[in-house]
Amino acid sequence: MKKSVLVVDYGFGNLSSIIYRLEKLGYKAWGTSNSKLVANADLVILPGVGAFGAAMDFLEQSNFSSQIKEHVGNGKPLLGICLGMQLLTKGSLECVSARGLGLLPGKFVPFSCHNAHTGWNTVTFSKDLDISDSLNSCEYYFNHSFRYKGPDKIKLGQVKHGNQFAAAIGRKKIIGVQFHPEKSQQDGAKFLQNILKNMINA
Amino acid sequence: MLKKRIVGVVTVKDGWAVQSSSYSKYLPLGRPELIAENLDRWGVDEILLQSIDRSRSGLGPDLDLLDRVSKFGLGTPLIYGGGISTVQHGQDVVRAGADRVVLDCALHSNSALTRSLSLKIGQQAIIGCLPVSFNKKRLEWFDYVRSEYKPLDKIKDVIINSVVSEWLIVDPVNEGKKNKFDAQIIEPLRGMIKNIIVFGGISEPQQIEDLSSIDQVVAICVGNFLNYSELAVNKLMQEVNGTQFRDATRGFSKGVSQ
Repeated sequence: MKKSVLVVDYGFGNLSSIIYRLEKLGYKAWGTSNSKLVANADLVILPGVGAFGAAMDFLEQSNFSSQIKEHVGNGKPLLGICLGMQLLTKGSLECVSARGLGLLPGKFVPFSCHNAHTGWNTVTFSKDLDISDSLNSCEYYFNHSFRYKGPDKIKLGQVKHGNQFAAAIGRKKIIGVQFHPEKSQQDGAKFLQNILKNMINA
Repeated sequence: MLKKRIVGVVTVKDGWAVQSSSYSKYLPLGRPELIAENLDRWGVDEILLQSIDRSRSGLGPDLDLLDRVSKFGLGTPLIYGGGISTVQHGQDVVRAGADRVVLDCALHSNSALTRSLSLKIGQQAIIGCLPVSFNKKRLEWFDYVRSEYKPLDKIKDVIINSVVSEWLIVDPVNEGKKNKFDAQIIEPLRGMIKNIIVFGGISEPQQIEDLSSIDQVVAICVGNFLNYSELAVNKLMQEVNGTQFRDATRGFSKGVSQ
């Protein structure tokens, strides 16, 4: 039976690329704003479009926050992409009044010498992120204005833009990636295939 | 290392992709979604859909077009420009499938728009557009809705007050003309702008090399010239020297014989 992947629909992004890619990879994927459906999912994805404050407001008001925490509490996997990765942490200086989900330590701060990190960049993954060697040092698409600041022990991938910073963070079955695998063409598709298989089967 | 990008441009007029020359003469190319699908398969770094008749006619953004394009599940980031004049328009465009939006005409009339829109979709998703050209040796900003030129001081105000991640500098005079982009239009802006995307008359590998050697230039848009042959992006990039770009064999065309 196909594994099911729920993609959270905050109401202001388009999910067609991520849904399309997931279906191509053989998953039963759907986007929804109904938090009750989290219970039916094998894996939940927090996608990556929008601003931190608006997304957290949605997660709180729609009850996704508590449903997602229950989901990971049951040992089920959660993947955050770009903004979704930021939501996994304690917060972001993009909106100081909004707290993150707090599932991972650390927070997001603006770049000191750039106003954004946009484009294709090479990611070096740590061995703690159990993925194929062929995906290491590939180029993935980034588009973000804030970077991760937190403990090194949860950093699973690094990227360099001026300084080096986290391209992936996580522990156990909660993983966040700063880049957009669904918008990173062939290499992104291979990354998604690899990471989702590992997260669901681990 | 962050790579410089090659952006494939699809110019859309009256719902059809067109080959454009100076934004004044047009030849139909076909359905924009099919051209976007090709660019996706070949592996351009980003795709820019520019609907050039939406602001002038007050139609707002072309959400039907975005809906048709996004149904293909593009694996390449999509930028949309055309008709965006309110925060709601910007949100609708992202909702319909764009990853980033371009604001052009709205910058003339509502300089606060980028700030309010950034609170909804993030600064990284907003690109400001400045069509500029020299008039009597002075750089001027073209307002194509009102068909009038504004002095450089007006551009400075807009650049300072806008919350955008990158600026798209367009050479409207040479747009669509082979090897005609006037690199001099960038010079007065280099001190004011960190991240510049260039467009208008860029077709040759040497042009791309020269423009990419400018620190502030982060992306180069190519329009008409990617429509003449299969795997045009890959062929073009094979002739560009240097490591500033991704490999010529890229995207979903990896493994396709060239």
